[in-house]
Amino acid sequence: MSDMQFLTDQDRNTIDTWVAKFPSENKKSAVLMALRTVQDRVGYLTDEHMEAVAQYLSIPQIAVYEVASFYSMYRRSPVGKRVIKVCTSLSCCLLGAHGVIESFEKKLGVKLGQTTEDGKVTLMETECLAACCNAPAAIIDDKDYQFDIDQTKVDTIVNELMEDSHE
Amino acid sequence: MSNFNQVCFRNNNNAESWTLEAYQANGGYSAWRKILKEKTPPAEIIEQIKASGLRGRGGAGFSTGLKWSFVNRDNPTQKYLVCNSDEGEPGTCKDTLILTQNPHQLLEGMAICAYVMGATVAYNYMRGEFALHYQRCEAAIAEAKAANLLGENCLDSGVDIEIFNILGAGSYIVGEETAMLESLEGKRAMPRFKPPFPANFGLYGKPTTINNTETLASVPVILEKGADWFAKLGTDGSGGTKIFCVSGHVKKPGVFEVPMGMPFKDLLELCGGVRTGRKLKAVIPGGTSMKILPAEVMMNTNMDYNSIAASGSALGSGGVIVMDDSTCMVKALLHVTRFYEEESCGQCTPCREGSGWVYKMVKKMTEGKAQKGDVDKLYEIAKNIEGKTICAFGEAISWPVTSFLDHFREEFEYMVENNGQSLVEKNIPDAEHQAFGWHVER
Repeated sequence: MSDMQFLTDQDRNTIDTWVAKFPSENKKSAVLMALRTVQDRVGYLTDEHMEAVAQYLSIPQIAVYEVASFYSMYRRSPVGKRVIKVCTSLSCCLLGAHGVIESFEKKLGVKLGQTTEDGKVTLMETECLAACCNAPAAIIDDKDYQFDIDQTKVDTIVNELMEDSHE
Repeated sequence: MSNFNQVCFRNNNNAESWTLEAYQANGGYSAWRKILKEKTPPAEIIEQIKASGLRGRGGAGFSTGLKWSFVNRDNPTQKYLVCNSDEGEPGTCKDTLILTQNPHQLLEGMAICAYVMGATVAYNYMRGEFALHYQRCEAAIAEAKAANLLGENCLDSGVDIEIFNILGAGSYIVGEETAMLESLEGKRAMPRFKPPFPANFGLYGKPTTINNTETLASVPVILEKGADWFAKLGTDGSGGTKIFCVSGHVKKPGVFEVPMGMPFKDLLELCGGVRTGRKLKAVIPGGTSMKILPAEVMMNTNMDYNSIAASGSALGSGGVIVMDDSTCMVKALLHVTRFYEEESCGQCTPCREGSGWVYKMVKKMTEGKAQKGDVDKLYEIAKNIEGKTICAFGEAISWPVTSFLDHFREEFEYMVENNGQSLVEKNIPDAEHQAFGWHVER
């Protein structure tokens, strides 16, 4: 199958910038960021997307699948448009990470691991984010750090995400 | 206070500290310019780094100068430098500040290391969540290249150095040096058998040096101010400064770059002490992979490699996790073991099975489902993981469990005998005031 329908020109350009960081005979090195590129656009990774990445990088499909199934940031099923991940490693737990989760659950009306009915927000937990001195911490969409979370912050985060679920 | 923020954080209070202009205004790139101009013999630089007493800041504490000497720079093959910026040891948040506030100092340290080992390509591997960090490091590389401090024929010296920023995708084990090489090759991050060591067979099978972010960012200042200056900041066996990240039950959690050998009680003072109305109970001094120590031991320990080792733990990554007397140690260990169960790469049976087993056993205790004898069993299983795995992850599971039991066994015994009742929390009925409560006044 052609990869045309599963990789956009923009995807290819982005993947090419990652390929260029490695020796030309080691295109495989770009697979982590190739998957991230597709996931950032689509929201999750289907078999077809993984196949397209394999074809584009000229590597076996199994090599792509191995990576997609190993690293925790990859998702192989749909999630909400925005994802909140609350850190539950020790430093954050010591300052109430589980209270933070409960508060998000209440405010969003979902349980940990679930997505709001309108598909806007998914609530998850994550391992140490390297923000231990600003505990309890969370991250939105795997890139936007939230520090020193209190009740006001929970309210603000949820209100903003529910209003502005981009695209 | 004069000895604070002298090395990796020396630039952090300046406006837009991450720019080339701010970095150079503070002496930045002077070491690199001098090396390029004078063609300093690499062996001389290695000797200076050895004399400075700099040891790996990622957790293992290996002599940096010695590590640098392992790669044969005269070997004509391609060689690589990898900077380990995959910060993720629970309790540790120091490299994040170097990457966002002082990226040029890291680049300068990387350039110097690459020069010493004869590498023309270097990778800075950051964790996948470090979006701002990536932007700052990309901008820093662009500025440094425009100034010809990096790239081809740096400052007309004939030296070529390309540095690339890389992002991970969520994996604690990537922080293990050979797992990072696998990840850079586009594979699952599973640690390799050693030997062969990366200095001989590293990235793409080529000679490779892997150093932590804080280690590499310390190098320019050492060369600028002298090995002796750096060594004297610290203590015998622990040269220089160390960044400590103090989190948990203190009034003002924070990240501090202080001289090695600072008494723990002074470090605690910098954080305003333990939370109001509470007493210190225990401390994990170097990230959750290291052994926990009781208050009375920590209060008499200095923060350097040898002192913490003598007290029965290790300096590790500098992630200092403070627990007060409201902390139920069984529950604390539950959170620690859950992390390792989640993050074991699954390659070695003792770790893959052991991490899950240990977590489930502690969970059973907190649910009141454990049986008499389970405390002994937990200890024995954890002890049996140690030393039986390819990488140090085995110890990282074993050490917390055995040390929690060594120091706080009665809490585990009590919980098993009392159907999951916590010895500590039974006297603190109000959940808000328990150790893991949210919104507790500091």
